[in-house]
Amino acid sequence: MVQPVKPGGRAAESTSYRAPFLLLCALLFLSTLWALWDEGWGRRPWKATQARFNEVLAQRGLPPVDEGLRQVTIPALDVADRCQSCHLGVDRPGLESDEVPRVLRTHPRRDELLGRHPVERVGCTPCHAGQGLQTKGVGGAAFAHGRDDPYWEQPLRSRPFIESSCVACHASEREVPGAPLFNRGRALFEDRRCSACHSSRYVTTPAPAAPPLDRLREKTSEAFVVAWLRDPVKLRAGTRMPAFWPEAGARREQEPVAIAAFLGSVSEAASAPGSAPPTREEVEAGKALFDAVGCRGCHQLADEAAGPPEAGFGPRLDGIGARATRAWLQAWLKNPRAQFADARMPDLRLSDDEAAALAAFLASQVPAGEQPLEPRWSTPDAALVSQGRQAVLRYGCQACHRIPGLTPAGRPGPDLDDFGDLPPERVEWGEGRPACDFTERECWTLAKLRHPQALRRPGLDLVMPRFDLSDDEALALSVFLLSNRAQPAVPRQVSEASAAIAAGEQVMARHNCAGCHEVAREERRVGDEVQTTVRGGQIRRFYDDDALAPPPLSRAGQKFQLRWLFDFLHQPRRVRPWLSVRMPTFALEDREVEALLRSFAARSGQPFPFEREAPLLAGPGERADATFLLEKMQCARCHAVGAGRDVKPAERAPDLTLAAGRLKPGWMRAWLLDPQALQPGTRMPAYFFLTDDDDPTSWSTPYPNVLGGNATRQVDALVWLTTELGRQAPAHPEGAPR
Amino acid sequence: MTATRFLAVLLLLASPLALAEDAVGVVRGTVTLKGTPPKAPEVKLPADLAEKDRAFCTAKPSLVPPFYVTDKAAHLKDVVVWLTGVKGAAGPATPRSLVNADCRFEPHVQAVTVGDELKVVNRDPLLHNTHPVYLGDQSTMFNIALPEQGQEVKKKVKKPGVLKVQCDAGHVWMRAFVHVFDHRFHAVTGADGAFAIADVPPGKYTLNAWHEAAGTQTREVEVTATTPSQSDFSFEVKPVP
Amino acid sequence: MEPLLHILLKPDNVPIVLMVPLFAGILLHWWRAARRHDRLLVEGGEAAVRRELDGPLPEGTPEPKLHTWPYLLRVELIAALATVVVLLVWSITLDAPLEQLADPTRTPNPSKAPWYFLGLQELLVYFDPWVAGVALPLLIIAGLCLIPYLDVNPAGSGFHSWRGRRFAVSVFLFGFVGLWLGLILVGTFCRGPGWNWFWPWEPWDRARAVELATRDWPALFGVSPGPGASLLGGATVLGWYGLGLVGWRLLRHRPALQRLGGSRYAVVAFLLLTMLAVPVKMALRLGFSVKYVWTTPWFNL
Repeated sequence: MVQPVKPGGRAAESTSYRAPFLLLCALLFLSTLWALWDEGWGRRPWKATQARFNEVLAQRGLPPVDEGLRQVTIPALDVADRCQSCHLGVDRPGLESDEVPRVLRTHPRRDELLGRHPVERVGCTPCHAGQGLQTKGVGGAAFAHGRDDPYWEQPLRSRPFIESSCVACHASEREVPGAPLFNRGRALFEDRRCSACHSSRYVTTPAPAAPPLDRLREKTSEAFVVAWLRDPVKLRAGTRMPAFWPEAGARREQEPVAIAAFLGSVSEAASAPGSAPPTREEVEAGKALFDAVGCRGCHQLADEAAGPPEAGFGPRLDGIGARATRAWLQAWLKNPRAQFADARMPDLRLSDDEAAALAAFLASQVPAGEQPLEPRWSTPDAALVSQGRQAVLRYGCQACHRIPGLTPAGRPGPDLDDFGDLPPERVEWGEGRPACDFTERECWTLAKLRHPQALRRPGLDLVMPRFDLSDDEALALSVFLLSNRAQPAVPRQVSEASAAIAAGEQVMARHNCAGCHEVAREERRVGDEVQTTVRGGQIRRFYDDDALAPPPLSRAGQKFQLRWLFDFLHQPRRVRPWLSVRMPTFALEDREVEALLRSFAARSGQPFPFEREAPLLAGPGERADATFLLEKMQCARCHAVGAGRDVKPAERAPDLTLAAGRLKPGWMRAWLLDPQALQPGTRMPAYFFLTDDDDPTSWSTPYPNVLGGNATRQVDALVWLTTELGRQAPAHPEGAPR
Repeated sequence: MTATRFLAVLLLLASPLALAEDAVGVVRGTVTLKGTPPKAPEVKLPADLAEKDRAFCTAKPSLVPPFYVTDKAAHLKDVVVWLTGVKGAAGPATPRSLVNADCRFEPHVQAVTVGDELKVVNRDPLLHNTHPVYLGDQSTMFNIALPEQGQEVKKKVKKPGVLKVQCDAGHVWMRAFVHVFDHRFHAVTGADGAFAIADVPPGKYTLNAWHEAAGTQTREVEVTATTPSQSDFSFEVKPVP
Repeated sequence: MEPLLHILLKPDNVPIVLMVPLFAGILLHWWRAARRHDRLLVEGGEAAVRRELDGPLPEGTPEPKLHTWPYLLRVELIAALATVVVLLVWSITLDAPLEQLADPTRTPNPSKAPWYFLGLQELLVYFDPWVAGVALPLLIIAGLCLIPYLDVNPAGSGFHSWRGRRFAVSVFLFGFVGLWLGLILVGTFCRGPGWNWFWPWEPWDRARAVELATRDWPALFGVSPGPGASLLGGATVLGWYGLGLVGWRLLRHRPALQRLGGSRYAVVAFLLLTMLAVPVKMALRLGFSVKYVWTTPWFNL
């Protein structure tokens, strides 16, 4: 028989279990209540915001919206956004006023932005980053859009940095529409040669080459090289060369001297002896040439107000006499590519005298009180030279400059392909974080661009130089840098025409066509007026008359025959006899020329690459009429018509026989009817007038007896005759290259 | 009897109506020149001018008017005077003309209103090409070829500004000015140097005077409905550009 | 001190921070119980201990029966309630560190295992991954399973005691507290970026790169890698386990070992020597930068 017993001993002496049991039950109950309280009794913060929204709607007499969590899910973009649970007014027009609480307001530029990026297709976080899923603050704190969560890698972007996200979908576009900061940043990244040291996701073209350092003994003096290395911006404002020694110190005193010694030791010896200082006549001749021949398309002297960016494409030439020797300048002007194979400076086909005159003028451009430069170099000291070589290798000069004996081996700087995902542990603040309202990563990028070498910790040696960036430029470049990250995207397809135009623009930007030529003209009707925006052609401000300036290219696709333009771009010829400004010979590769031609054709809606030939008219009767018109309209007063005409042409217009091979017949027709519409400001007058402004076919002609008084037929006849004359003309020298 | 009385009363009652028109004023004045005006500049015909044109134009007197045209009392001709700040309709379009005659433009200076029709005429047996350019932005208003004698082209004036008219057919000495205003409160002085701007609503305005070589002057005027306001300008001879 | 506070307050480390005082408290409780029971053992033998624990039984009670409920389960109920309350409070106060979607191409540095595996992760410093990740854990589990078969010591059965269970208690404490918990503590507090050694008060320097100049055990004796080194290494390992044989010869006469018997002794010796090899290897690695003792083409120890 088994007897139930109670435990005795120590166990029996213990206190009753009832008390702890009841205590724990109470604690359980209380902590459950606490959990419910912590969760807001089931009332979500966003519900309060939704109630406010319905109040706002009621004030405006609009029906209320349903309450409830709103979520947009787009698996392709990794999007699950609950933003609209609070931001209920974002997609509703009419709530822009300041009286509406900020969270409920309509999205700024709603038609433009949300119209093209509807929330159902794109969500919110692809552009704004942040925690799309979060609807309440971390740890019970107030809602902070994920900025309070230290583990969220992409916190909500600050306002300027929203543009960093655009390129994920708009990667195929040369200029991302609506993202000026990003575009400017990308242009800066390309322009300042960042890709020489850093790779980037969105800049794949190689950096433009910097001047080679293989002939410094000829070009400049050792003292100048040292001064330049120490502070380039002081010696030439707007230079792309950054400052490697931004702070004064022993390094800044010693290393430039060593580097200069090294560069002097590897440079070719000066071939020509020093040249005489320029005389007044030479300088005046040179200045006249400088103003006339087209230098101002790319270069500025100090005496001008700053023009648009195209005017500063080439280095500023004030003070150049103190930077480069006259002999070198002359050799450079005569043939830039012999000095620097990748030079962007084109060949102006200067004669020896012209080059000498210009060189004299430029050599005279020295800061007040200084003398033109003499190429003085000391004998190299072996220890100093070796020090200099080590310094050059350390700073990576050969990534941008060609230095004899040093081959660039890859990019010296870290890859920036994923810079937008910079991990928090890489954010080193060195001596402390400056005040900044943006997120950690954004602030660090800005600080790094402004003072690259300050963000160090003891023992870490940084070699990134400091670039001369204004605050706006630093911000734009930061926006671009932070766009470099892998982001799920739906790439936007660009039409062939847009791609062609963009490729052409890239070529034009590389060679600064816009410095001399108007490259685009847009006319928009605003009410009764027509607003015209013109891009390019800033050199026009130096000429009194549009006809003395380089011609516009905005309708080049409509105007030129492709074959002729192809040949012309490879080897320019003189077409306008009265022009003193000269089209230089650019070293364009075939694919660049093709890109240009394609972009011109795309811009004007012309077929590429095949074109129609000029039509042939039937009947000799029309030939007689055409010849009669040509005589009556006195075209030969201004246009030469081949050789052998007895009227001396005024050389004020191109030779008519060029038109057959150069101009498209459609263009010639439109040109004869209304030249000002095609090329505003042209000296070609109009012979035909619209009798009725609203009827584009009501052309009146001053010769009602010819060809039935039909202006269009007369124009057709003239076009035919011009083409005939061109075909029959003996091989016209077409303006020998001068 | 009653009829006459009735008529008289009617007339009496109507008379205030006759008097109660919109009150308008007149601004008039004279422009004089101080100093000795330089002689007309010598015209150098360009070397590449067609023979026919050279033969025709050299025969013509005074191809280029002097910069300062005055009469014996030093009254200055071809000064454009206008008011700014006046609110009023542009009024009906007036036909204007710009004539190529004797290898020069007639009139040398004129002032037109937006909406006027400018008739460009060629009276010479040469090819003339009339090309007005706005002085402000260097934009071309139009560029017309007139190869036939007697040819006329009408162009409507649309944009206000100061136009300098030139001829590109080799006649580089030809020059004229057309001031385009978007109101009608302007006048050009004649040989007597006098101008009169009528139908001006009362108020305070700025009166401007422009001369091709002597520059621009301004002054404040007050126009009343009853007395015409008199404002004289005096320009000094400036070196010719 | 700030880095130390940062480690202590990190939500990931809260279990360990709580575990240390908790376990210390339990150890203290056990030690006091063992001391009490040992004193009773000396005074009155096992019966005294039994009386102390169970209380006096009425004489002649045949087959006493104790109801499971409430006498067994009430403690467990209290424990369960307390656990639920603690967990509830913990989950309200400490938010889980939710991070973004894991990106397989980006590894955080340092990448630490959950606290219960930090000991093994630490072992990876000293051993080949196959050994530290597979062989040793298997041996641990196998050893724990085998304890009932290897522990033939009748003393101290059913109550805490030190006398008579010296071997078992010390081996267990060494293995569990010394090695397992110790390694977890090392992994939590003393390892930073790059799995480099950082004292708990040292700030974590992400760019610190420590040179790894390790060599193998035979290299200490001037033997270069090759068949000779393999032989030397193998001889060392065999010699280590040979200490077990030595122990058998020396201690065979003891009653404990006589109880154990030959085969059980072999298993115990093997497991014990393997466990002791861990601190020896650690010392060799930390003190002499020895990477492997025995290198063969198939495995490295």
